[in-house]
Amino acid sequence: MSNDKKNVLEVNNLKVTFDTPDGQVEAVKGVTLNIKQGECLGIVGESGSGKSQTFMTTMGLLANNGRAEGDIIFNGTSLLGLSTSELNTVRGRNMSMIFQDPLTSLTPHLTVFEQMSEVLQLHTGVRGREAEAKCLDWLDRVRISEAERRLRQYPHELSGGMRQRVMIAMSMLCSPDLLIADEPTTALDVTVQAEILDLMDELKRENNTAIALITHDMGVVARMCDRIQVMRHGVYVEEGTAEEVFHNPQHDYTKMLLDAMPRIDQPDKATNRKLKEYDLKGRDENFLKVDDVKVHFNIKVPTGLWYKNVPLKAVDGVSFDLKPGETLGIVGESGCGKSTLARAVLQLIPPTEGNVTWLGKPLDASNKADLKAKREDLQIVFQDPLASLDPRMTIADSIMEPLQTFRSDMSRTEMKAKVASMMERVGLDRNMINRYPHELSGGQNQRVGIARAMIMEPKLVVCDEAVSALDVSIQAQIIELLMDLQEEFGLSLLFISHDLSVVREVSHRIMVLYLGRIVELADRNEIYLNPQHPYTQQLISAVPIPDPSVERTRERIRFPGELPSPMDPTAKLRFLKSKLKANQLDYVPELRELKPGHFVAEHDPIEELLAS
Amino acid sequence: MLVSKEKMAGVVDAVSNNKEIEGRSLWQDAIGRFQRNKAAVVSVFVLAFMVIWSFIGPALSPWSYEEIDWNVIGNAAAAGFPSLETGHFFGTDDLGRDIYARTLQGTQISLLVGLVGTAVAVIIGVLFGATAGYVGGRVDNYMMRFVDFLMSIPYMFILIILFVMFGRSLWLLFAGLGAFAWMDMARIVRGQTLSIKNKEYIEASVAAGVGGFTIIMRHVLPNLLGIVAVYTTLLIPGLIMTESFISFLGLGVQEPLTSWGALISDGAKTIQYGTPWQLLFPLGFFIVGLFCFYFIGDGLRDALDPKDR
Amino acid sequence: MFSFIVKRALSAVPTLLFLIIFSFVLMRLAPGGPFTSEKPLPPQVLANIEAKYGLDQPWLVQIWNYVSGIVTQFDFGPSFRYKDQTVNSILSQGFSVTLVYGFWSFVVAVGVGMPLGIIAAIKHNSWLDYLAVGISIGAQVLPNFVMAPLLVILFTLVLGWLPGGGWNGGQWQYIIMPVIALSTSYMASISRIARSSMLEVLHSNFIRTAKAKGLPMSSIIMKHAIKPALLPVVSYLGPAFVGMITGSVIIDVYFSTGGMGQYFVDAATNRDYSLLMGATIIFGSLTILFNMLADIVYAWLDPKIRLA
Repeated sequence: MSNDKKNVLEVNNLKVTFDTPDGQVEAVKGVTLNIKQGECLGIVGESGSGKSQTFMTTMGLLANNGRAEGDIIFNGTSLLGLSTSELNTVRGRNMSMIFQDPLTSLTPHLTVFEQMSEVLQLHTGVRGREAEAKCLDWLDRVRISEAERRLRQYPHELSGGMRQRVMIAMSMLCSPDLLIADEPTTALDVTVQAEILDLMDELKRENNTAIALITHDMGVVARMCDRIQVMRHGVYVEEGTAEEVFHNPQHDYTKMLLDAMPRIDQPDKATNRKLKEYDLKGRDENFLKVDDVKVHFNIKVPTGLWYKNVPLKAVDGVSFDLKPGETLGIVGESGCGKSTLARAVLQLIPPTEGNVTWLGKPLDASNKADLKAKREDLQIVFQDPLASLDPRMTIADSIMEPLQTFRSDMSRTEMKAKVASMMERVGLDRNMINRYPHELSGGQNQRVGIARAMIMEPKLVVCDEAVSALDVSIQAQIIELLMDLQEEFGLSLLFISHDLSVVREVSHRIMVLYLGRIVELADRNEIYLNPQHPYTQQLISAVPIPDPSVERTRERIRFPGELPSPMDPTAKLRFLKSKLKANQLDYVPELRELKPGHFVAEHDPIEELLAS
Repeated sequence: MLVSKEKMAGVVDAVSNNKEIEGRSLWQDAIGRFQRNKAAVVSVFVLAFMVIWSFIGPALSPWSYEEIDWNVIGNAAAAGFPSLETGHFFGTDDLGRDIYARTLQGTQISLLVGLVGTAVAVIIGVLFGATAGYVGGRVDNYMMRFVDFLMSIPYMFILIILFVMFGRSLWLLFAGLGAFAWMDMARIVRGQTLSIKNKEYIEASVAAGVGGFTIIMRHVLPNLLGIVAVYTTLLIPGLIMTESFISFLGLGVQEPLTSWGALISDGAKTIQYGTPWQLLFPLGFFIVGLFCFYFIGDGLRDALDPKDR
Repeated sequence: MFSFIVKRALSAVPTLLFLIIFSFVLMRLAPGGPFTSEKPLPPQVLANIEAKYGLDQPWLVQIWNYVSGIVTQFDFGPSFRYKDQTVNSILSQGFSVTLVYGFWSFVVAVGVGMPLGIIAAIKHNSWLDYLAVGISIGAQVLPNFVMAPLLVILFTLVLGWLPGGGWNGGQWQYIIMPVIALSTSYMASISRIARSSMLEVLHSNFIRTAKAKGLPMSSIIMKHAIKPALLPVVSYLGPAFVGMITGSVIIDVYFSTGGMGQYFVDAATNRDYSLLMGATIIFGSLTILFNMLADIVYAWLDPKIRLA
């Protein structure tokens, strides 16, 4: 970045305070920053660090109980203290913002065109055909398919990724000098995230727009940002160019963030808890076998006057086996059926077809007593730590629940003692035994969930996005805890996540799911170093790596189009278009063993897919 | 994955003096929040006072609720005004009956109808709603269609027809009011049950081998209790109002028993004859009583409504 | 949208049929026939009367005749009590009265309640907001049967401005008190619902987006906020209408307006079953019809339903 470019935004010693029933809370405690033309500034921090509030204040979107002190200068004008109508000549025109949640950020009862054109009309006076042409042009530039049709559609008819594209197109309409993006890709799938980020990068270069990118994801920062400010508890702890911050971090907190961030290219970083290599010697192979499991739901689809039941094939024929002490990672994007598969394995959702064999005997929901006895060895840890605990029970009671079911021989005192020792094992203080979930942090609650799953010393634990809702530093601790426990109890894990980097760090083998079917299954290194299926390759290339020098030189594989809906009958043949062309719509891609232990689903050659 | 074990141990040492910390349950939090709501707390006391008064109060008056003061009959406007001397603290009605005694008696009846009717509605509503929500699927669909259907029927007319046909009795009032007031409760309970059922802690219990009945008793019901408590306190004044409506039309409780609605009706018919006390005393009780219920209900809602969390 | 309307209209039919059949069965279940209540009639006379009203036929035939009479000719049959009049002629007199003050009450409840709630939300924590909240809290204990006598005390007895009852062909002096008495508590409820839903909408993400676009507050409210904020209000209109229809009975009785409610109560006390049923069915159809209209308005406001 050359230094002679002028500052678009300068913030000097900004303080933001909120009046709450519990007194004054200082969310931002004296922040100073500047952004130059055509520059992308990354603001990184964990939840509650005050990173969003700085820019909410800039946009004049501070909540009513908030007060701001300091100075915000945008293109030479001081923004703090401007009246709303004065501010309205700037925002939306010279400075615009996109938000984290594309699902709720568009007005539900107005069409895309109505929402876009009002910006044009307000700030440039352009209306009618001219406005329509301009909106179309921008929708094309953000690469929305069938742009013309989208103009007449309502937000609920668009997918999350498309809505975020509309948001970006809308904020770029007046070619602003500054685009503020507040966690723009957090709610999106990783392949969609990759496209949105590329798009923003392009806009920055083509239009010389300055971008302020607020995020918690070091990988996103590494890909996008020229300069970085790391924020914690309302203050900047470190700032510098991307290279400086990533390769020579000064502050302990930055170092910790970088260490805690899992990297898909380095699953065994020096600071990592090493995954114990798996070997089969002396283990019973007849542990868990999943054979052609299918889970179909009936979905009501309106057809004219009545409804029709259409089967949604959430899981559509999945087979695999798991060995004792092994971790199998299951990855896929939203709607791929990974959580449903996990629940079908545990018989929490009875499979529509197919068998699950556990220690040589079938797991069957119809035999209730037998299944109940087997549940002692089968446990699950959930994504949302708070929702997975009964709010009206103390954490000890929650942890004790499995004991009450399976160990009626134990007295309550004995149970309590066991709960207390398990709590200490998972890093919870034993004097918290009478606490309620709402009194604990997310990380602590997840430890409670893990303690509950571990108290019977089970043989298999399913972790359903068990670390996805947590900040990276907490995430790292929980992963370490899980790996410790695995070694100690010799348990097997089914580790489900949308995050390939985490999965690669903790799993021996990795399975990639796409629309309810396995597309690839292989050893964790094999699948990363030698991915065969185009979808796997796309996924891996979409995962951002928290290292700017690596991230910016990587080549990306991108297939045109949005992530298809599971209800779309042609979606399953997205990587086997030749069958689609041959009009074999019912064709089911076959899973083939490429070499021992490496399974790949049938697909067309990548070159052909990329060309189409 | 940087986890400093030493740090963790340090934290544990610092906090642990090995005493168990008592947690604050959601109920305790809710009680705290309720107590900070002054209007609700005052309402609890006013209502309690009203109930006690309605039972003890009649003993303080020389007149019972059905006794006729022959000195006043036919001349209520001149002789039946409120007075300590005659013992008619709130005056008399046109038949020479003591308004004070009748108001307290009406208070008992109105509160009783409100409580019993609500109890009927809550029992039907919770059972119906919880069943629909917990069973789900097609059964839920049909059950809720049935509720929608019932709600689109103007039940007050049916209720009045019932009174006409089967005669006016307290029992019919309880049953009739309850039978037509449970639909809202059923909807709320069903919605709440559905959301509880889909919570991961229920799944965790299933995974822990806990049986269906135990799950309902241990997890579903306790989590329903808050919302049921809130809507119960809001249902009571609603039913008192419905009963008053029917009594105002002269179709409610049978003389000599009376209720707030019947007293308001009697008083309202005679206001042009210069006997405002016949309306205003019962009306005052009615308004104060209803306000108390609404304030308590609002207080409970603020204290218990899971939306806040 | 069209298919939604058709579906919704079709679903109203069984409700209406049920209402008719249910009230019919209820009448027939009544202890004693309609003509046995007073002095006992000679069996021959009773049989004649029953034959005249078709009561000697099997139930199913009776129901069929009754329903088909209503559906094809809008005929509710003769009154059991007023020997020379049909239910139709009695109810049509009352209907026009009820319609007039009912219409105005609805207009007042919605026309005052909605803007009051919306403005209160926009001016959150201002004196206007407190006033609106105060009114809606106060009015929840002022149902029609409490409002009516209080209004009479104030406007008739104390101020002497308005007549205390009657209809007089629907002159405005006679309409005011019925309208205020009937609409107050619903106006308060509507304003409370409008206020809280508007507050919620104003805190939603898409309003934040609209602010970020630089739109002035007035167009944010008109274009983005009002429609979604009205949805809960619209879904309350059905219940509010049912409440008002029910309340009209009180108004008719208390103000002697000569509306349908008065005939209903008379029929109830006189055990005039055919009149009672006719009134119930008309009240019920109005309710069902209005619930349907409210649902259609709701669907029209919400593109998710409109386009489904």
